[in-house]
Amino acid sequence: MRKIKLAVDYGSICGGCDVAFIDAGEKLIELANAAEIVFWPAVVDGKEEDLRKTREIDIGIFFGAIRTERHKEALEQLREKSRILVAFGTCACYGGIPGLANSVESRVLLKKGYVATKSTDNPDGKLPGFEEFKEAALRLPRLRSLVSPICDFVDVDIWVPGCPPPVESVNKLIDVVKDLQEDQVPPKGLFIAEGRSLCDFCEREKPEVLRIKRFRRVHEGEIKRDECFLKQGIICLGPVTRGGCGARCIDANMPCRGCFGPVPNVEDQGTRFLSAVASALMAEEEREVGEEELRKLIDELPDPLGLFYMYSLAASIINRRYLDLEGD
Amino acid sequence: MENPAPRPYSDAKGRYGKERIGVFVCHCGRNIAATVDVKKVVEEISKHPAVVHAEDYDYMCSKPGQELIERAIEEKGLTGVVVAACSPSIHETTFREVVEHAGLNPYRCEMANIREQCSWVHEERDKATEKATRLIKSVIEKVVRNEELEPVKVGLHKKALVIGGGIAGIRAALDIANAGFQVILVERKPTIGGHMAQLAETFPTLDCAQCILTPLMSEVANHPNIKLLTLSEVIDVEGYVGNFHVRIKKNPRYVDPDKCNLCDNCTEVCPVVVPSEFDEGLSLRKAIYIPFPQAVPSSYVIDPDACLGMNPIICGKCAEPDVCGPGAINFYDQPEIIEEDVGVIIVATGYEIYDPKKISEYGADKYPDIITSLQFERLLSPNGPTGGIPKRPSDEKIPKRIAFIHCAGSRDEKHRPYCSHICCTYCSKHGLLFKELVPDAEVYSFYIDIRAVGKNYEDFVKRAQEEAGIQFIRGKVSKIYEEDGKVKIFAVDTLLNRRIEVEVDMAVLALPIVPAQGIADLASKMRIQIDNYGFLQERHPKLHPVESATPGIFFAGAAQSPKDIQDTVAQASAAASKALEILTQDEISHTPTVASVDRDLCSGCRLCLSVCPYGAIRIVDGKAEVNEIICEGCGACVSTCPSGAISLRNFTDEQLDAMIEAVVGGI
Ligand SMILES: Cc1cc2nc3c(=O)[nH]c(=O)nc-3n(C[C@H](O)[C@H](O)[C@H](O)COP(=O)(O)OP(=O)(O)OC[C@H]3O[C@@H](n4cnc5c(N)ncnc54)[C@H](O)[C@@H]3O)c2cc1C
Ligand code: SF4
Ligand code: SF4
Ligand code: SF4
Repeated sequence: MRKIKLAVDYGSICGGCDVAFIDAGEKLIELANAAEIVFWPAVVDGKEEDLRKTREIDIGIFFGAIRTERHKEALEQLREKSRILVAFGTCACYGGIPGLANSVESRVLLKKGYVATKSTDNPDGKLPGFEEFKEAALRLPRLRSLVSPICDFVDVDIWVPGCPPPVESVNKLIDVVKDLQEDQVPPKGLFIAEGRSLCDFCEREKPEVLRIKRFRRVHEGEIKRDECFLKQGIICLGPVTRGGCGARCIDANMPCRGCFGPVPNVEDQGTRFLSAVASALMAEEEREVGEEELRKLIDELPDPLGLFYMYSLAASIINRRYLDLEGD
Repeated sequence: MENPAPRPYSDAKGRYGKERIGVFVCHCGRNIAATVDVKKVVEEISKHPAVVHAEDYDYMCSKPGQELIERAIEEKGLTGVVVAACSPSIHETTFREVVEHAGLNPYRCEMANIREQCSWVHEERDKATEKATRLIKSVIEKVVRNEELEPVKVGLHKKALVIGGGIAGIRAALDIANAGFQVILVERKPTIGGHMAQLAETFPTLDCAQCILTPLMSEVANHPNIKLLTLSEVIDVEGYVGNFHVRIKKNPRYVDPDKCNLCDNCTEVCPVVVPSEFDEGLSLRKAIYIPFPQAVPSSYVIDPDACLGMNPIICGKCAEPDVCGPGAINFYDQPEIIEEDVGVIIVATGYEIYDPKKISEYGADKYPDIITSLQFERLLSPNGPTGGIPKRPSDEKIPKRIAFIHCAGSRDEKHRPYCSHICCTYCSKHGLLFKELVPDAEVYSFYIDIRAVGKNYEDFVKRAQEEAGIQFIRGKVSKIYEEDGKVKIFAVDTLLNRRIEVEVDMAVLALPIVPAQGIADLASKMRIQIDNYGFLQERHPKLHPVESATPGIFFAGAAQSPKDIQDTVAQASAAASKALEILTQDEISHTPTVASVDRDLCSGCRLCLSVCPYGAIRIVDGKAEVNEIICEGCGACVSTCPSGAISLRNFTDEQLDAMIEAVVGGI
C-alpha cells in the first residue's frame, strides 16, 4: 500500500500535543506503517529544508496558535503543500491559552516580560523581535500583535480540539491517515469530537431548574461528586463546550474549563456562557433580589474573561484589544 | 461527527437565486418624506440584485397603496415584499394580509421601519436617506431567508374561569354566561359581592350600592351557565389559551347551602363572638354567621378558626336538631379539589385597603375614633353597625366635627407613591352624606389637590363643597392622635403656608388602594405580570388595556389599578368581550414565528425553562421542547441556550447576521 506523506509543523506550542501522540502507544506503529513522515521536529530528525523541498504532502498537521510571523509562514507553507490540513489541539483550533494574551497589546506584553519584571536586568529596554542579531546571523521572528487560531489565515479540513486532544482523538486521526491509503478522504470540516455539549455526556444529576444563588470557587468547601457543578455554584463550561473529551475533568471532580471549544451552533463560547450564567443567576428571583445584590453576586466571580474564554479568546468576537490585525 | 466549522459566518452576498423582491416605500404624508428622500431610496434600492420592483407612495396603508402591492405581486411575480414604512407593530398585519390576498405566503412580507427608527429621529436628510436604504437592504436579507409558514392551530375548551366575585367578576361572568358559554366563578370569601356590597351609597349618583348590586348577585346564583364556587381559590394553572387546566381548592363551608333555610337559630346558640369582617371590625359576629342578609350563596357559614365545634365534644351546639331543623350543619365537611378545563381566564381579584398599622403617624391602629374610609362606609350604611347614623366607636356619640384625610398614604413616597384615584370623590361623598345626616356638623377635608376625574365627578365635588359646606384645607397632614376624647390633626396649610392644628371628634383616613393579598402568587402561577405595586400588568396600556401578556388571560376591575365602579364595570364587559372573541372560535390559531429546539444539540441543561416568561418550555425525555401555542417568540431562550440548540423561526442567527451585515457593511 501507498505510504501517506505526513508533515507536522508548529505554531506557538507547549509540547503537550506531541506528548498526546506519544500517549497513543502501540497505535503509533500503525501510523509508522501507514505514513512516511516528511517533517516532524519532535519525532524524526529533519530540517525545515526537507519540508520546503517536498512539493506535495497528503496530510499536514499543525500544532499551536499563530503568535509570530514565523508561525504564520510555517502555517501557510504547510497549507500550500498539504491536501488535507489538520488543526490539532485547542491552540490551533481556537488560539488556546496563549490567546489570553490578546487581552493586552503585545508591546505591553513584551515590556512586562523583558523590562518590567523585578528579576530582569535590561537597562536599555531592548525588546526582542525588533532588531536583527547580525553577529549570530540570527533573525528573531517578530511577535504579531495578536494570537490567532489558524483558521484566521487558512482553510482547515479536520479539527481536533482538546488541550491536549485525548488519546481517542489521536487514534481516530491515525485511522484517518490509514483510510487515506485507500483513498478514503474524510468530509471537509470533520471534527474529531462530538457534535453535542459536554453536559450530554456528564453523568451528574442535573437540577430541575438551574438557579445559581452564589458563585463558589473549587477550593471553597466540598464539591459533591454526583451533582451538576453549576448547581453547586461552581462555574463549569460544560453546556457551551463540545463533548468528546471523555469528561476527564468532570470525572476527576473538576469543572469543565472549555478546552474543546464551543458547541457547533455557537460562535462565541464566552459570551454564550456569560448569557447563560446571567440567566441562571438568581433565576426567577432577580426582582426580589434587586440590581445591587445581583451586582455584588457577579463581583464574586474572579477574572470572568480568563474563566469564560480560557481557551477561546483568540477565536471570539471580542478577540482582541485593538482591531489592527496586521502590524504592531 | 460532521459539523460546521466554528465560524460558519455567512457570505450570502450575491446569492439571491430566484428571489424577486418588491420594495414599497411609504411617504407617510410628510412623516417620512420630510426627512427621507423617498425617491432617492427607490432609486438606490432598485439597484439591489434581489429587487425587481420598487416604488413609493403617499400612504402605503391606504387602499390605493395596498393595491399597488397586490398589482406588483401579480404583474412582476414577486416572491417577497418589503414595505418600508412605520413600525411593524402598527401595520405588519395589514401588509401581510394584502400579500396573502395576492397569493403569497404572508411570512414573505416584512416591514422596514423607516419612520420611528429613521425619519422621526433624524434631521440630516442625506444621512437619513442612506440609513433608510440600509434598513431596507437589511430587511431584504431577512425576507429572502424567511420560510413560508402556516399558523399553528389547536382546539379549545369553550368555558371561562373568572377569579374574584366582586362587581368586576360578577359583571364579566354574567356577560359571558349570557352569551351562552359556561363560566366557573371562583370567590375566596363565603359570598360574592366584593367591596361594593360594603358601600353605603355610591357616587356620583348616590344610589344605594346594595340595591344595584344584589340583583346581579342573584342573577349569578340562578344563572344556568354559571358554576359558582365560593370559599375557593385557584391553586394551579397549567396550559395555554384555549386549553387551561385549573385546579381549584374549595374549602368547606360546614353548612349545606341547599339545606340552610336562613332561620338564624344557630347564631343565637353560638357562644363565640369575633369582629365582623363585613363591618370592618365595627361589630361582632358569631362563629357561624352569614356575612350579610343578601349573601350569595344564600347560606350561613362556619368560620373554622373561631368555631369550637370543630371538635364536637367541646361545642357543636348549633348542629343540635332542635337548633338547625333541616340538619344543614356538618362539621366533617372536607376541602375539595376541583379540576376544570377552560379556554379563557378573567382575573378580577379587586383590591384591599392599605394596612393602617403601616401609617402609625395617623394613629388608626391606636385610637378608636380614627377610622378607615371603608369603616365609615359601614357607619353610613343602613344595614351597618349603627343603623346608618355614624357614631364614634369610642363612646357611640354622633360626631359634630369630622375630618376626612385624603391621600392618607397615597402619593406618598414612604407608603404608596401612586394616586388611589377614587378617594377624592368618595371623601366628598362621605362629607355630603354625613352633612345630610348631621346638618349642624362641621366637616373638614384635608387634600393635596382634588382629583375627581370622571363623568359628572367635578359637579359632584362642587356640590359637596357648596351644598354641604365642607371646608377643604389644602395641606398634608403630618400627625393625628386622640387625647381626652378629641382627635387632633396637625397639618401644613399649603395655600396659606402656615401650620394648622384642628381638633375634631372623628377622623376618617382615605388609605391607599392596594392589590388583593396573594395576587403575586396567583400571577406567578398563571405566568402573568404584575407591576411595581402589585397590580396586574396589562399587555399595553392603551391598545390592550384588559389583556395580560399571556394570551387568553384578561383583567377586570381594581385588580388592574384602583378604579371606581363605573370603570370597573366597563372594564369587566370589555374583558368579557375579549374572552368571547376567543370562546366563539372553533380553534385557536397562533403565530408560527416561535422557538424550536434542535433535540440533537440540546444538552438538557434546563436554562431555557427558567428564562421563558411564558412557561412555554418543558423537558421531554431529557431535552427541551417548546409548546408552539404558548411561545410568544420573545427569543429569551434563544440567547440563553448555551448549546445554541434553540432558534426562532424566521429569526435565525443566519438571518440576523445577514441583516447586521447589510446595515453596517462598509461603514
Ligand atoms: C371607601 C370606599 C368608597 C367607595 N365608594 C365608591 C363609590 O361611591 N362609587 C364608586 O363607583 N366606587 C366606589 N368605591 C370603589 C369600589 O369599591 C370599587 O370600584 C369596586 O369595588 C371594584 O370592584 P372589583 O370587583 O374590582 O373589586 P372588589 O370589590 O375588591 O372584589 C374583588 C373580589 O375578589 C375576591 N378575591 C380576591 N382575591 C381572590 C383570589 N385570589 N381568589 C378568589 N377570589 C379573590 C375578593 O374576595 C372580592 O370578593 C369605593 C371604594 C372605597 C374603598
Ligand atoms: S454544567 Fe458541567 S457539571 Fe453541569 S451538567 Fe454540564 S458538564 Fe455536567
Ligand atoms: S421564544 Fe420566548 S416565549 Fe418562546 S419559548 Fe423561548 S423564551 Fe419562551
Ligand atoms: S437552554 Fe438549550 S441546551 Fe439547555 S435545555 Fe434549553 S434548549 Fe436544551
